[in-house]
Amino acid sequence: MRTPSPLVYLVDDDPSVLRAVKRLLTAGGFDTKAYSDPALFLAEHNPATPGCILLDMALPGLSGIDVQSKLAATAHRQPVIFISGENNVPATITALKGGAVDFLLKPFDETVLLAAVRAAIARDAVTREEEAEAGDIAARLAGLTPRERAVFARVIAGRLNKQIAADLQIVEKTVKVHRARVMKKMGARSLAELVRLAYKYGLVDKEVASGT
Amino acid sequence: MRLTLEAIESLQAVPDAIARLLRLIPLVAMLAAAITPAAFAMESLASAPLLLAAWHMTSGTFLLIFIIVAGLTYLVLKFHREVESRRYAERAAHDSRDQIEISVAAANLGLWDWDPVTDTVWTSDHCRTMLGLTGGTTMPREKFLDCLQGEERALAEARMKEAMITGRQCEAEYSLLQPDGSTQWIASRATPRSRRGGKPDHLLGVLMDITSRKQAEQEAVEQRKQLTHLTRVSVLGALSGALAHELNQPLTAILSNAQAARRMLSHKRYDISEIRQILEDIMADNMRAGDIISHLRSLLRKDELARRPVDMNQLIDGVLAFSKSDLVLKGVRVTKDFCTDCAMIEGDPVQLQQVLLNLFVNAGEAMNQMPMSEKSLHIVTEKTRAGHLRVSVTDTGEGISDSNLQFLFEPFHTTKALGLGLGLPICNWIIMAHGGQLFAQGNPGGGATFSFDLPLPIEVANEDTESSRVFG
Repeated sequence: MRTPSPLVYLVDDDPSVLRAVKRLLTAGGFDTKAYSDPALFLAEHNPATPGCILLDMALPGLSGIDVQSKLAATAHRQPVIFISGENNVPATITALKGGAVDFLLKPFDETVLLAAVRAAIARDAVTREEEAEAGDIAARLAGLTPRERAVFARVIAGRLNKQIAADLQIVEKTVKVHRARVMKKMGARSLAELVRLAYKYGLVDKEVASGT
Repeated sequence: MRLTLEAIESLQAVPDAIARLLRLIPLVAMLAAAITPAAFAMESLASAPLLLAAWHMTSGTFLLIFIIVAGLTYLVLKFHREVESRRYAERAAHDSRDQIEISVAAANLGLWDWDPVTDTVWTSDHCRTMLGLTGGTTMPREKFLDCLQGEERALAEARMKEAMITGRQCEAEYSLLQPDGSTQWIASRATPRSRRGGKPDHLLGVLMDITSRKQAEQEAVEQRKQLTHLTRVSVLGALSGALAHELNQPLTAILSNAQAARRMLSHKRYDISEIRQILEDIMADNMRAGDIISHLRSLLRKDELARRPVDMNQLIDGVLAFSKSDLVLKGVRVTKDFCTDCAMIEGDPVQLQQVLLNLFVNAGEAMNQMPMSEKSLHIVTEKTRAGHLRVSVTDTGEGISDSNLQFLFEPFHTTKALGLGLGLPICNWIIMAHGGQLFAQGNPGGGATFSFDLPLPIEVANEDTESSRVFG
């Protein structure tokens, strides 16, 4: 699957700042889309595009924090870097609690800006990769039969084949067959790998709960 | 001097008494005419011819003697009464002079009296003490004026002469340099008087020490200046965050533009027109930063009241632009309703900006607790029926409680945790200094309206401006 090149969304109500920072980001090698109106940005913003969002704190109508909380409702959202002319501690705390990855104080140097954007994009890429993997695992899990799921849940809970056979009132040999299929369908080469996958994507509690 | 005056007056009184006496002669003659027929009646009754003859012979003489005796008696009595009343008047005059001297000394007043003929000045004891003069009661005018220096001395001399010529009272204030280096202030009121009636022939003056009043006035002016300065600083302190933001915008744009251009130039191929545009943008932002700084400086100056033609609408827009970040950060929606041809007034733009800034900041703070959708600031300029320009600032904040309304313009009364309680009193002083008035009211639907009226130029005040409103 080919991933589209990362895009930097820039939102600032000051046209002069908007133009200058867009130039700098472009010269720094980033595709940039600039918005002076936060409402227009929210309407046009595509959460599926990898990249990051540079958001000014003081925006007319909707504040930067408002925009951030509206973005939070969408899936696959890009990391938000706040830019602000004011060293406002409460606003900074709110922004960071809301998941902002960085907070740049205007006027900022190109190295600071570009490094922050680069880090945010890298972080976004990692998140997207993990999300993709999680989606993949979920798809694999969906391919299991109900019986296989029941066996899977007990395997990762650490129960022995004999115990599972007793639980499900089937013979141990059948358990072994199911177990081999689960390993194959989930793409795990060892029990350890299966458990790791289950833990990583939070399947343990869910499956154990549904299986028992 | 007073004694000679009285002597002249009593001399004038003697011919007066004689004239009154002469008026009595017809009365005496009438009396004599009444007595004569009575004498003739007696004659017809008399039996002794000798006696009758004697009566006939002497009746004319007798009548004459009677008239003379009666006249003399009247004259003596009249003279006695005249002397008595003069004595009484003298005593009364003496009493009233005592009373005047006591009250003059008690009121801390000094008296002087200039006689231009002899060019001498009579001075009261207290007058000499006040002016630091030594010597007797009467002195040459030169010596009297020695208490004043340079220009003030020349002015005093000119004023004295003018008062004598015009006959009008003159009032003036003089500063006297004390031996200890301090300044004493004296108010003088001189009245030209005439002793004989007609043209004034001497100048009677009263001096009052007004040093403490002058000092209090100067202190009040100084204090007000300091307080005005103080609130400007405190208002700006409250706005400093927003201000930094305002200044940071052009600085951010300049830095980013310059660094973008440097990056572009490091590539082999670049667009020269783009670089040129960047330089243009940098210059524009530099000017913008400069404007913000000069605006800040003008707000911080400790100026006297300057009067210039001011467009109130422009002034409001300027202050709004200046406090934009603050209002935007708070999420306040700003609406305007401006009158187009009644906004020109005479005033000090900086001080009026200060008033507007204060009202906007207050309105913003009053709406702190409101949800963002309900924060709005409405600014109206309009012409009142009385021909004033009215500026109203309405917010949708907490409003004003009745208990606060009466203290609103009192210094040091504040509802803010960090407030000095000086913002509104100073706004009020500024508006009053412009010949206007500041009002406040709580609105029935919540929020408050602060408005002030300023006098419009007469020709605008008389025009009908009902049709000239625009909505913005």
